[in-house]
Amino acid sequence: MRKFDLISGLFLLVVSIGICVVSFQMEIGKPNAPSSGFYPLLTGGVLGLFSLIIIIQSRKQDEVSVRFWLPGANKKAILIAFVIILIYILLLERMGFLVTTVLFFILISRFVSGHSWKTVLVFSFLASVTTYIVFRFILRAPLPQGIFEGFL
Amino acid sequence: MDFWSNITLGFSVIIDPTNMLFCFIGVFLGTLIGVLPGLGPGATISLLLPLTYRLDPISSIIMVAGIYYGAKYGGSTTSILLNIPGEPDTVITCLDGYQMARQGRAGPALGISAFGSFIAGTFATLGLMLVAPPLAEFALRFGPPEIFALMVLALNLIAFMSSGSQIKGLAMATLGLFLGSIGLDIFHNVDRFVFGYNFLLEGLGIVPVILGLFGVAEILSNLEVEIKGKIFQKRAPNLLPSLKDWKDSFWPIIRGTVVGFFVGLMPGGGGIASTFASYSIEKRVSKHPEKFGKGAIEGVAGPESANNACSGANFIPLMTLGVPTNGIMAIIFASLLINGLQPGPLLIKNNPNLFWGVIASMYLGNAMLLILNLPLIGMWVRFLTIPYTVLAPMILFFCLLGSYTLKNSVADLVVMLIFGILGFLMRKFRYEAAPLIMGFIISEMVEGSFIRSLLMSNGSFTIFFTRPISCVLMIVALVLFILPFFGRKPKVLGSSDDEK
Repeated sequence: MRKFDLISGLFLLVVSIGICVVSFQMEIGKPNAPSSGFYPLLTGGVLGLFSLIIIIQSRKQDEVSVRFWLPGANKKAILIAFVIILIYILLLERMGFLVTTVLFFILISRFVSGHSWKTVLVFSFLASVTTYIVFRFILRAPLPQGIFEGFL
Repeated sequence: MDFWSNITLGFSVIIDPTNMLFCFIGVFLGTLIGVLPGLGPGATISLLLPLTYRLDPISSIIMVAGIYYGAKYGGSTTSILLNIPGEPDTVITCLDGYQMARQGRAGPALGISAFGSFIAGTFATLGLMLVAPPLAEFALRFGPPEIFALMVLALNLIAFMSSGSQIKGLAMATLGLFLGSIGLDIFHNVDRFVFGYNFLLEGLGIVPVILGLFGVAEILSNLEVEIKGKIFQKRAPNLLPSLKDWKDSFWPIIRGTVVGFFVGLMPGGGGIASTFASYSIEKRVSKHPEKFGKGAIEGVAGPESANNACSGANFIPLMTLGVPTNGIMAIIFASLLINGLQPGPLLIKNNPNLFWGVIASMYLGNAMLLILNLPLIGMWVRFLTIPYTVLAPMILFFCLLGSYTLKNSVADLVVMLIFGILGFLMRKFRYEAAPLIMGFIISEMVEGSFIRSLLMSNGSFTIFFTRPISCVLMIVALVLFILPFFGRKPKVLGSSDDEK
């Protein structure tokens, strides 16, 4: 845990320095006339203080072996899920809601959940069409049409 | 309006069929997600936030409240039958509840858990009804320094009561305060930390931030391990506790209700803290402490009552002072904001329909939950068989959909993904999301009260210590901050309810 706290403490320290630097580029003002940079500067300063305490406390801790990943962790599933979300974000407005959602369910059900192709296709189609009908026609949410613009 | 006309007003709100329906939807969803391990009320309410935007504010808050207290009922089912806590609050129920199931007494365990929850939930609602209005009246005297001091104390308490390091909790709360300041500064009409990205002018969206930290992070964490468990008793035919069970459980239910209610009043007073406190008390006062952990019904009745009383009491600081007591209350705070309602002392005065309607809905909701959790227990057990491989894609998809549909903005999806990764890393590095969410949501109030206080005092920071109420609040916050450095942080207290 000692290493984890040291790394996270240093990361927070860098973030706090960044906040303070950008705050200084804004107008700070004075305590009796605080300006827009005053409050972020204060939060940055306090965060810096806490991160220093985390770093100091980490140096005093006994070295306890804690691994980042749990034993037998399914790292691949996490990485694939991340990539699929990214693909969804990139394609949603270009391809439209329906196509992207079907693709999302196919990819995630097959490569993260590990279902058979038959289950994947049925589940993806049903889930996508059902949510489309509910959100588009019942809740009247304006969903992107993408390549089906003017057809749906 | 007097007390009785307020109650009449509340019940006139809840007898509206739409509100009744949303109360039912709330408690049903609450029980469902309580039963399903791997999906908590925080993530569920976050998923529904965009939907609540489209509903009538009263209906949406009634539903959201139902999810919160309903989850406490459902959480015990998995603890008793599966030895997996459906909710973090029901961890302690596993100890004796699962042992009772192994001895063929799952029925009385589930029964006393539901009855205890009902009794505690009803009493907590009564307490909410009696305590909240005078407290709100008192809070009307608060000026900017008192509000600022109260917020500082609330953030300190959340960090103090968290299961991990207090300093880490405070660091997250401060990071949340900073994140809340991103966007257009309404005091000076200047943009801050926008870096040319116009979508940031309105600030980071509450919904994508919450969905990322709670929803996406939860899914990513759950994908790492497979949730498995053995159901000991799929059928629990005899749900009614015997006379002896009632005799053994009577005082634990009463004590659990009182403990839960008072723990729930405190910012940071999560359900876990109340259940651990109740369990310790029951074990201490019992004539047979050796039976605890081996199927003692007192070990189920006390904590189950405590966490329900706690969930009712959690609404008091939110509705009267505008202080969310834990991560989930912070999300409920957000849902009030999304619906154009400002939690705080004026909420009851300006929106009596909402306040008394929600109270009346809690009486009705608790009664619905008793029915849902006793005769329909078999249905909930069947839900336990839904594999996580089916649930995970759906939850992830609703996170994406929820983030996008609020403003039809892909930028919100990017924000959600970034906070999803941040939330995942925070879990790995043992940082809790609740203080961050709380800091983020109350940031505008903190900044506003801080700046106004400084303007009032002509720049003197002593204003926070020269006014009696703010001075007391600041001193308590300071003591809480210093205590852990002297090794005085309680070790038993659980985290805020964001863990799931």
